[in-house]
Amino acid sequence: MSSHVVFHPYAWTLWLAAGMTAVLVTRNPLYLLILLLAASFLYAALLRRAQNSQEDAAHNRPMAWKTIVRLALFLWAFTILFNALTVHVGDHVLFRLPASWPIVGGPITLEAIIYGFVTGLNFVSLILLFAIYNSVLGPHTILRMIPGFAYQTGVAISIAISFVPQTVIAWGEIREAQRLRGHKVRGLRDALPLFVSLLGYGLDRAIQLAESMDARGFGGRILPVGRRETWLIRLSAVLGLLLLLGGLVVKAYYRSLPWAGLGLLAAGALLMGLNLWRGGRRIHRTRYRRWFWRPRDTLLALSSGLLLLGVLLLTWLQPRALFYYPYPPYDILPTFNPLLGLLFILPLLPALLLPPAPAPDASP
Amino acid sequence: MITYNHYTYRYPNAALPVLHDLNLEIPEGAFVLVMGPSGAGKSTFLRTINGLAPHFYGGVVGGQAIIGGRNPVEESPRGMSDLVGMVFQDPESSFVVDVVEDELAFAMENWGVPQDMMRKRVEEVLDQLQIAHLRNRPISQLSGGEKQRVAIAAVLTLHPEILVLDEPTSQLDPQAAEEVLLALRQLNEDLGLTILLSEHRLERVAHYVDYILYWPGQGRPPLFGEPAEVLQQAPLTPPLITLGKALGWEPLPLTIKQGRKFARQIKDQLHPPPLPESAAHNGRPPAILVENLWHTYSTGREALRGVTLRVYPGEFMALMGRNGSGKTTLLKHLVGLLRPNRGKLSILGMNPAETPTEILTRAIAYLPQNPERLLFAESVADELAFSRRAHNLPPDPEADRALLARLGIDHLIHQHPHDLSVGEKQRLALAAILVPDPQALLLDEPTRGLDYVQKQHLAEILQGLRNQGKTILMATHDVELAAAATDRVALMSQGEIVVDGPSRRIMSESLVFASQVNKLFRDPRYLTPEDVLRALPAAAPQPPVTLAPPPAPA
Repeated sequence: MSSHVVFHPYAWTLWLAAGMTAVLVTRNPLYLLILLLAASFLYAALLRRAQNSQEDAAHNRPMAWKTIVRLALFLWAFTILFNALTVHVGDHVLFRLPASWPIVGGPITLEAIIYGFVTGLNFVSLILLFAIYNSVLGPHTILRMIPGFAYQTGVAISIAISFVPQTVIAWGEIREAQRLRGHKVRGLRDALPLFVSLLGYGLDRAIQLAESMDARGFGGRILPVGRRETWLIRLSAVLGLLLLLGGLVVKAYYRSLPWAGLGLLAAGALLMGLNLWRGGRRIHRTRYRRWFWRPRDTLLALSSGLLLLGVLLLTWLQPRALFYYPYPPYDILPTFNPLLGLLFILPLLPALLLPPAPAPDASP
Repeated sequence: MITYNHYTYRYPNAALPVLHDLNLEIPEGAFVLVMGPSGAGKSTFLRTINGLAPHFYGGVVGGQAIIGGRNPVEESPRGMSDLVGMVFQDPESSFVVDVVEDELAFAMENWGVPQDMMRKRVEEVLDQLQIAHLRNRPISQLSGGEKQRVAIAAVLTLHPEILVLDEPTSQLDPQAAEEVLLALRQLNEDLGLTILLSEHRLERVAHYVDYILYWPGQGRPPLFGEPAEVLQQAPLTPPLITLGKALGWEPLPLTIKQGRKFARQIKDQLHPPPLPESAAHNGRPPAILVENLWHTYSTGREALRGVTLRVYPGEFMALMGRNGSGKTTLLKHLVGLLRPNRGKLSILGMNPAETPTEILTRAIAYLPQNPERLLFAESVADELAFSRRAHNLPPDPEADRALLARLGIDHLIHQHPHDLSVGEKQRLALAAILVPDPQALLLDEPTRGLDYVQKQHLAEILQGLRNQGKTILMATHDVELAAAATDRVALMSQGEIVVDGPSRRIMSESLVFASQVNKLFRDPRYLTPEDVLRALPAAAPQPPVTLAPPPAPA
């Protein structure tokens, strides 16, 4: 059985990394809007594909547009309102609130509204990128990319995810049951038995699951370690932490030695990373699903790499290109370079690479 | 394969051991049915096979158990997991991931089984359990029987030699249960897997198991032997065997086919009373009236399509039919949990579409499929007190105690509801909804997970309520209960009522919904063992057929 994942998980993760980096380093709303539009088109393409697909794994079903749009509008309304009411700077004053009102009192400016809008744009783009990433891979594929040392956490998260749909059903049943007992939920105090029931249900299920997992030999095989190695691990962990701390101190207080601080930080990080890697190697796990690297994955990786490299180089060499700040003394109108605009269309590429939806289940 | 030597196990904080001086030998490749009343120690025994008891529960062990040459107490359940596969009652609670194929592979991934081997084994178990077509489906969308087969497949990937199943079908409807039992039978026959299965519906398995292990409970030692031999001594039996034992049939028939021979011999000697006239309603208005009811779920599924039904005061009616035929949807309409798209509803003169559920339940009690969901108080007494408060009734501990006594659970009044058995929980839930003395009672699958004794209790309680003049409408798959207790049966299919008539007529005309005894005689006058025994000439031997507890061993 081949993997039902459309893109190779690593290529797809690079897509997310590139998109997120682009969103995080950019404040210019024009570029952000281009990226948001590109992502929306991609999402629409994924939704259409999912509707035609019979391979209906629950996690591969993207969230409905309605949910996404509602979330986006809420976030936008919140950031715009918050910024407009709390920041009273700018030349374009729309109206004034009485100065005696704490915090919100003062001029309400166009600049503040625009700034709130850009912040919202950042949030919404990030959420959409994550929604797209999730709808292609699903939580369990993502969990399998977690390195060995985080294995236990991965299993715990995996279980928590599988609890959700059943808890939702149980919640409905408990609410019905309460009404059947003649219980009318009016206030928080009346709702208490509902939560108690749900908690009891969750606890029961957790115990049953633990029992069944024990019987199925879960827990993985953890290779034993010798005494000497245990000490080595502890020692290097302490040393790594000390190096990191020292690096921070040097960097903060000895401005004249910028490289020394960075060097210490790097050494500490390297030691910690090595330690985690060694720990991860003690847990032997295998992967059932095969991940194929197809030509479309190469294209995806290349385009994502281009975007990532592009925005990183720009922030380093031309920081003003992606910059935008509506408040004075800067211009309220954002700059725009069509070539850069093209760069931000790149996240749309997967929509063109999507294979057609698989035919209804052929296997008997 | 499985050997127990003077094995004793006591739970922590328990005064007496559950398993006491157990000596037992189960050969390789045997298919063993483990039966006995609830709480007799079946589950505990099954959990000692892979060491969940004592490893998961704590407690004290004496003597020795040797399973496939290994000692589960020393090896722990994890160490035994490649030898003993364990499947539990509720398949939902054993799943870790969300897609069938990933679930099958998950245990192996954790064991570090190489990818090629995993792929081979997954393909094998998909075929063995005939679930290859489900491989990409999310587990939450499967039916109960499919889920349980996936749970079995998931333990088979580690290639165990012994499969232990603790009431794997008690949460399933009959069709789903049949799927699971057939799959097990095939595993036993094709792979020679040793299978231990605890199961209440003996009539479905008794004829193809090799041995029965019967736990009588109350600390008495279990019986182990060939099915006919053990069933002869066990009091919990399906109607066919109850009748066979009462009439001294030898060898005891385990299937309808075997029983028919005996039935032919005695058929001519029987003098049954004439069929009762169907009850006239004397123009009284029906207690429950449903007219041309339609309901479509938001998913687009048409659950009810023009249902018309009348239940008259004092009538006990069964609603039967496949899963998904609309039984539960219909019942939920009657207590206002669902609103009709179209059609007319009236129950005791009220309109459930316009009256809030909280008010309706004073007059109409509804017992849902999972009765334990109804319980949330700290003690049995509190549950009833809660009901009184909810319905604005004054506290009345005396009446509460009397109600509990009527249901046979007054000795549990200070217990926590959570500590009760399945049957006791159900009776407590029933008590909780009966507090406001409703005139009508709706039940959804009340026999799920009950053993024969508990079922008999339930039938007696319901008949008692009917004799008080209450109207009862019960959705059930349980043919025997419907045969023994109800006046009228309606069959539903695809959201419509297909047939509706007196129980005796409907159940003897049907292939699927005929009771065991009826299948023997094919005569509407015989639905239950009692019908046959009453029709016998007085001279014939007539030992008691009620389900009395077995005599204590000397």
